[in-house]
Amino acid sequence: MTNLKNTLIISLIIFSFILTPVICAAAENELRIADNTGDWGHPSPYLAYGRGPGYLRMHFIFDTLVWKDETSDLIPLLAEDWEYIPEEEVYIFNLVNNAKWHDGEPVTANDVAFTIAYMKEHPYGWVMLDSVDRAEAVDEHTVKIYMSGPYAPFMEDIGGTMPILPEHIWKDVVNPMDYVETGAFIGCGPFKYVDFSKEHGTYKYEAFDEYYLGKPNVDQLIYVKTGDTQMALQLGEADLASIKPEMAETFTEEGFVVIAGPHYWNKKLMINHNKEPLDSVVFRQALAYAIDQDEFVDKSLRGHGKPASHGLISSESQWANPDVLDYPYNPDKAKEMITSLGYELEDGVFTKNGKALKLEVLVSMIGTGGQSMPDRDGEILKNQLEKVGIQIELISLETKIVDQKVINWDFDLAISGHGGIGGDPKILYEKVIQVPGTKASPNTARYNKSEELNSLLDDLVHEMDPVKRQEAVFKAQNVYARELPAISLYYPTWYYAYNPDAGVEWFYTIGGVSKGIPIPQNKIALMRSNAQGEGGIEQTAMQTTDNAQDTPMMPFLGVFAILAAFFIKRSGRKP
Amino acid sequence: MHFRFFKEFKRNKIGIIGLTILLFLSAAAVFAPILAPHDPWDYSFMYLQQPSMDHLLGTNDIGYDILSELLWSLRTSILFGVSVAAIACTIGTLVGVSAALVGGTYDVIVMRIADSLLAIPTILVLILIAAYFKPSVFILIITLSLIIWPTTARGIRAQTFSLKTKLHIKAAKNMGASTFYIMHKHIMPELFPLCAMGFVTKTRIAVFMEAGLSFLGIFDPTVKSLGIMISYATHFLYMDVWFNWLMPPVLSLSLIIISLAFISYAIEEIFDPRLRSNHDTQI
Repeated sequence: MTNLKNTLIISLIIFSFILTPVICAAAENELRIADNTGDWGHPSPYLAYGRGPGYLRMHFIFDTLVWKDETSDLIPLLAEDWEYIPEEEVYIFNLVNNAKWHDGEPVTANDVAFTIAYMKEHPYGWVMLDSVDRAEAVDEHTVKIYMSGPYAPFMEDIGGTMPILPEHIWKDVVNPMDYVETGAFIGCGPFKYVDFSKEHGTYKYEAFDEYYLGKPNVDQLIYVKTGDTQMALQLGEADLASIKPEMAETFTEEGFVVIAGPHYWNKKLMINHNKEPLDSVVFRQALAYAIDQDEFVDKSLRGHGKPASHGLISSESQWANPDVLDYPYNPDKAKEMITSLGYELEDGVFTKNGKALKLEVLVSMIGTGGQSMPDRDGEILKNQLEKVGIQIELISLETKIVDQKVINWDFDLAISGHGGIGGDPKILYEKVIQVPGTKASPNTARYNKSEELNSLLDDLVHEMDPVKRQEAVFKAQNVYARELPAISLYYPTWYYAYNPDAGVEWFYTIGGVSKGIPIPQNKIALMRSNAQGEGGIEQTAMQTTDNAQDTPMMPFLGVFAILAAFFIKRSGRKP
Repeated sequence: MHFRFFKEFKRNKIGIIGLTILLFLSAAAVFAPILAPHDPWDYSFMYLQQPSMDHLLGTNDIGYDILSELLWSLRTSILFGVSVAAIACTIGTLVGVSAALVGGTYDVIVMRIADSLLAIPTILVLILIAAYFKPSVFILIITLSLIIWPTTARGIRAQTFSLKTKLHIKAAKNMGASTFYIMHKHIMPELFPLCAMGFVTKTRIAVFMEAGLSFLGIFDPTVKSLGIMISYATHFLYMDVWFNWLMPPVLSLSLIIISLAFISYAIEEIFDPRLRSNHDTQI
């Protein structure tokens, strides 16, 4: 009896030793993304911060009707097919029939119709539903969206950005901004919400086994806040993180895959065009001639970027006008233009009526991607404008205060920046005109002094004919470059590095994720196996080999442990 | 007591070390325009150069010569510290002496104001002021001075109360000396050690505050500052620049603060009989 007991104990010990690495391996099937900001709001549509990283943290939980792969082509997501009937101004979406909410309820056309009605009543910052009249569920999986007028960016702006909400949860939510209950995190996306810590800036998601496109190829997805993202990668604490341009080669040598992003984010000089002399088009053009964009790229970015187009749309966008009006660096021409406005150059400074031409420039430590970073742009701009005779007072303030001052028109010039310039050209409309009923954005010029520009922007949004729309977009860029309601300075090149052994092949999406978020965290990457390379979305659930519960080796390991225990006991007997 | 101060200071090793370091750094700051090999605002050099004969500490991320930037930053730090200390000590001394001599309601009011200011977290007020107004060097000097004077005022007031009861003061009063005469001839010289110590301590606080604010980015970005240098250098540590870019401003800041602490300690040691008794053995 004692022998049997001893054998069982030894078996158990050996079995535990064998099992420990297997259990650990199961726990290792997680993917970590490092970020040095951390808190981007709760990962729910109305609670996530209104910037790209906030949307991305929400998009793992909530799906849209359609989505974009790396080529920027629209691919089916909740809607397996769709069509537009121009005569009726109606979009018809047929939904997949196996989609489920994370609480087990089926996703139906009623949820889509409800989301549109709900977001019309409670405006959601990422989509504009003014052009949508109403939505109707035709049957359980077919929804009709009736438009009140033509709206060209519908598919990207609404179809590919609007997260679908579960009606059975949200129908009772009166104030979505205050709704932080469990229901706020029930979506139908590939990952389920597990945890968010505002203090620690961490997010934790778990793969949704019943996802209609198949289980994602990682069990857990975690965002970790870290002061040094590069260090986190090198120490193996993260599998994906942004890196400094100078470190790209080092990371490649260390076995990481480094991806350089397209140029869909611009550093921009906001101009108070309501104030003299900045209200003059000639003066703004003189500023453009006085600014040496190449110097910004060489000094501020240390060569890792490119000068920006003066037409706002990224020069790498399919919508970019190749012949957009340009302002090559020419300080002499700038001086001539300022002189033509009645200014006189005295001791290197322009004066008018005995008063020196002096402007304030607001700067903040806003970094690429929103993180805190030191900024040399103010110093470079001051130097360049003082060279042509404009006195500059540089004021460094906290980002939110700079934004507020710009919104209140309490500034002369301010250095700011935004993305989205590689996606749909509607960004031109959004960054020039203040959409009625929406919150003022510090990146929007709010410029309505040019009838021609207003008319072209209107065409750009409502023209459904692709050729005519392209023409309007090209013309609008030229008029924008002529009027210069703001001056784009440069596009930084962003680098991300990822660990290929983690099993996910990350990519930058052409035009940006959703409405143009220039961050390589498209959820589609998590639906593909690294080994499959160029393959499409994996349609079946991916079986992870290291799932302890499903491992067929388990009984064999148990038998092996018992045999080993007998062997040890026998060899331990005295002869 | 005050007549022997300099003689005593010369015999105090800690004080002499502190003063030597401070004089050396101050000389570097005063002669920065001559000593700096390049214009500290000239970014035409190649960025992130390693130290060379042309750039003894190399160049930074934008192309500034680090040594020139360091010398000009020292100027800012020392000037800022001394200015704040001078204003704060003047206010503190005037308020403290007048409160003790005048007394009554005036004493109660000014000392309650001082108590209220002591309860305010200095760094938060400076961040708020800098955030909502233009964070110019002048505004920050005035704001910081207006916040940190109460500690000096309280010490001076207590000492003045004590002095008021001394026999020689009473004798002077009985012989018809005016309040101003007593203050000028008898009280102020006796308050010198407290004022000197307050001045040094406040300089140290101000230098540290300036570095902290500029490190956080709440400072005039066109002014050269040790805090701004440290802030930028920490963002490029992955480029192995700690020795030529991060170390010099950190070391300079530490030396300023250590030298002021040494001087402050020496002054305290000279004027405090309990510490003075064994000062020769302390270093």
